[in-house]
Amino acid sequence: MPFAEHLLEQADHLARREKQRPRQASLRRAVSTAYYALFHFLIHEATGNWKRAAQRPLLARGFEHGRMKAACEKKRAELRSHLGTIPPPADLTIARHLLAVADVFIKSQDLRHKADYDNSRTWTRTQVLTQIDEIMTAFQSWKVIRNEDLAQDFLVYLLVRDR
Amino acid sequence: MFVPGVIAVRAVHIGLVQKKEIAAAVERAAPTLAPDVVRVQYRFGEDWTGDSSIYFGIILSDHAASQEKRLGEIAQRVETTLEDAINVEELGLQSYFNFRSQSEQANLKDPNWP
Repeated sequence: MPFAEHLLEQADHLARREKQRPRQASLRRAVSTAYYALFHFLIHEATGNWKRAAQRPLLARGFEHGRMKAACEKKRAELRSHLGTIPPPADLTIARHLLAVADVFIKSQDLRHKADYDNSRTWTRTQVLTQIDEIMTAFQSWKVIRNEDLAQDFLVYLLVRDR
Repeated sequence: MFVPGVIAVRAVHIGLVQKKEIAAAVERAAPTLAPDVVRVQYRFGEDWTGDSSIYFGIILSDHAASQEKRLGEIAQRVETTLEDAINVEELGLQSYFNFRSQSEQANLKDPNWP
């Protein structure tokens, strides 16, 4: 999944670009780029299921930030409730990893919105490196569960409204 | 040992009783996050989609913040602890977390953060 990983690498580069006093421009672009790394990562995973490869970029354009956030919120609520029932160990592992992905997506999206549009806010390197590390962990979590039905269903709900 | 302090900054859309319960829950949870966390601040607001939200400002010790490979792990522990403590799901709140080191916060002199 090179593009998303390259974006995350670029975010990390921006966060460390100025050794002593990081510029706000570098930090804000890092926050935004880190979010987009996860955004494109999940879209790539979802569209990869579409048999006709030439149509995948077109399908990718159907994903919306708000819809994806709503899907993540719904899944997160379901998973938190499920984890409260003390599920069997195999379910527990899948649920925890998927919960981590959905949760980091929601939180990173709000950070990205502030980084892109809120000029009143001051960013720090600690904030940005924390976000990048959490997204890196979300990538790893996804790789553990990507073939599970629950994870694959989640990808569909990122695109399609659950009625 | 330095016990994490707690500051509630400003609030919207949350009932007074809930605010008091949240304040008490954060007060109880914050010391369990030491020594990585030296202060927990929060405010209520709305996120970019208009959902009622609680924004936490977490001040990490300089030692914790310098351990870059542990930042994600520290953040996860902080987030889970505070979300469980205030039961965000039941309250219907989105929770968001912002992290700074002690030195960064001291340099910025930004009392209204997060």
